[in-house]
Amino acid sequence: MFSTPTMLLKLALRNLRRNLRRTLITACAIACGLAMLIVSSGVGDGSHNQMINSGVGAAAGHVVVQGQGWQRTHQAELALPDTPALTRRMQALFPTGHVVPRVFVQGLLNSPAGSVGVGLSAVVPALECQVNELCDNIVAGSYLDGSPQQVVLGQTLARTLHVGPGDKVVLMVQHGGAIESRLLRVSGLFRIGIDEIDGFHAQLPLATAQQLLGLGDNVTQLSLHLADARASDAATAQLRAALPAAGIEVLPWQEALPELYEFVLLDDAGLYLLALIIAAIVAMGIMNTVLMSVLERQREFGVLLALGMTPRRLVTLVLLEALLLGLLSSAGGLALGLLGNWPLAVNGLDYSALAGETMEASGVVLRTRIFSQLTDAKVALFVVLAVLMTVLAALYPALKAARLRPVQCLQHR
Amino acid sequence: MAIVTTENLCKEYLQGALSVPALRGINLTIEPGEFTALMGPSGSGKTTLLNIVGGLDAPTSGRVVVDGVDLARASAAERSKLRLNRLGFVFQAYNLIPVLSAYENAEFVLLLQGKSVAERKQVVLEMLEEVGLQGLGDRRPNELSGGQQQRVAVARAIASQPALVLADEPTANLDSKTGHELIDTMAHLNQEHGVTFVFATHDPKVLEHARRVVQLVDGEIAEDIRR
Repeated sequence: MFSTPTMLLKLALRNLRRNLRRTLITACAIACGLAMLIVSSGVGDGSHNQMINSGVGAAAGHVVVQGQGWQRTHQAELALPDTPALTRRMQALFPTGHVVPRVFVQGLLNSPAGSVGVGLSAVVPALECQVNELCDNIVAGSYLDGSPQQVVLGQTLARTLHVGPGDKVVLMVQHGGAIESRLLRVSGLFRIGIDEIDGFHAQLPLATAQQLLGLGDNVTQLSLHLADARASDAATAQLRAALPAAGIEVLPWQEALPELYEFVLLDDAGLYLLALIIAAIVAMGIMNTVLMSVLERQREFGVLLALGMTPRRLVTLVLLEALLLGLLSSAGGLALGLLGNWPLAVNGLDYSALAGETMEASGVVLRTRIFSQLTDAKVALFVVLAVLMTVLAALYPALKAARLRPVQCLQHR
Repeated sequence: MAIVTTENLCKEYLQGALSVPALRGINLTIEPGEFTALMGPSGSGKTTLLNIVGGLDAPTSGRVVVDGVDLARASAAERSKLRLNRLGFVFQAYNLIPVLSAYENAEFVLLLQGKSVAERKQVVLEMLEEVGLQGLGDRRPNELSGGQQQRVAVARAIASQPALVLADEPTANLDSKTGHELIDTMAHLNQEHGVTFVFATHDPKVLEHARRVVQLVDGEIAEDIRR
């Protein structure tokens, strides 16, 4: 009962070997197409992860826990209730992650030269420096050291206010209908490379903002930073289940930074579009090759039909040849792709000659050395699609073979 | 019961707007055990008749019944089943599967029929011996002479013990000595095992063995000589 499938498999394998050069050329096309996709995917995902880590490091987290409604309104009064208990709970759930508290507030910075409306983040310097690259981009003076009256400014902002390290500025914020002000000393200047941040952002100690806004021990946001951005969905679910629902919102980075997420999605869509184009081109080549192979074997197929092989088995034979070709080519493509990806994962892809030390995308700073990071699910998807595409490309030639009339085929030279 | 019965069998081919008659009202009966030659000049309709009897082509009109199956009414699947289980074919150009060995070519129809490994082995080795190819089962067609390839084709045709073997100019591509040996083999199978053969042929050697010669001219039976 199992002899016919074995016979078809044997025939299919031997038929692939009949014109080995053609088989190898077709296999190379499939393998190279797949390898290109794998490498592109790795570089794409690597740059995305870098963007995400950079974005969440500066302005959010892989998961953020905030006061209910803060994401929509950004009202400084919407603080997290019982922040210390929440912090301990989060640290217990994610002992290898970083839980970073922040207060975000809008205010006015004043100097003798003028005033600028700014966005401020109030931080714990030691914790912030674990996740935020801003600490590594101090171009003058020094970063916050925990002293309550300090502030670090963007370089462009400092230029606008005509201040430098050691100079004084006055911060004014609105709180509860009243204006609160505080005298601060500039401890340092940072330069990120994004105008909106360098020109309109400052950082100050957490305690200063808590006092200014009357928050007590509470904060606007607890951000959770994980080793791998891809774990954020699972972490969000875990936190939503573990933390009290009243008064807080738990958001993955995709919801906390929707513009960044949209950019990543769009970029990913570009990759899938590229995959589709490559697949279509390779598929047309495969279809042509299989069709040639079918037309060359018309007489042989006529004999098989004459001997009593059913058209369905003939279709199976042709599709089996395509399946074997797809499997072998995909294995080769996977190996080639992993090999090609390896130096990019270890040494990275250096764009600095083209784009300088950093570049900006969707409001996030990217280093111009991108390390490839492969996603198992994507690689598996591409491999499966390569095999499927090979079989589908052979469908038309297979159906053509099934419609052959034996008597015409036997007359074919 | 006759293996083949045709009644007023007609076949026309369209060449552009022109209708060319290949068979005109053929009435023929083939009994079990016959060794029958269809003879006639090129274009007389020999191959067309064999193709229709073999279920490879459909008649334009008339009736053709092979082993109880009315081919004019049968579906493609039914004709395919008939070819698999009740007919054997020997072609002028051997038409072996080039990627299969002699053994595998001979066993091919048995595989399609779903016979067991043991049964296939017994039958194929026996058939290869019958046609004088014992020990050559591992060779591929391109490693065999023309005569040997045609013997493999004969072994393939008779391995499933068909009711009828249709041979279309089986010796045309062989030298005379090889052709004669092949016909002797087929005659032996006919006499010893009662295999029914119908040949389309110009080969006089076939005539020597044929107990019936049907002469076709312009798609009609001109003579039907039984010996």
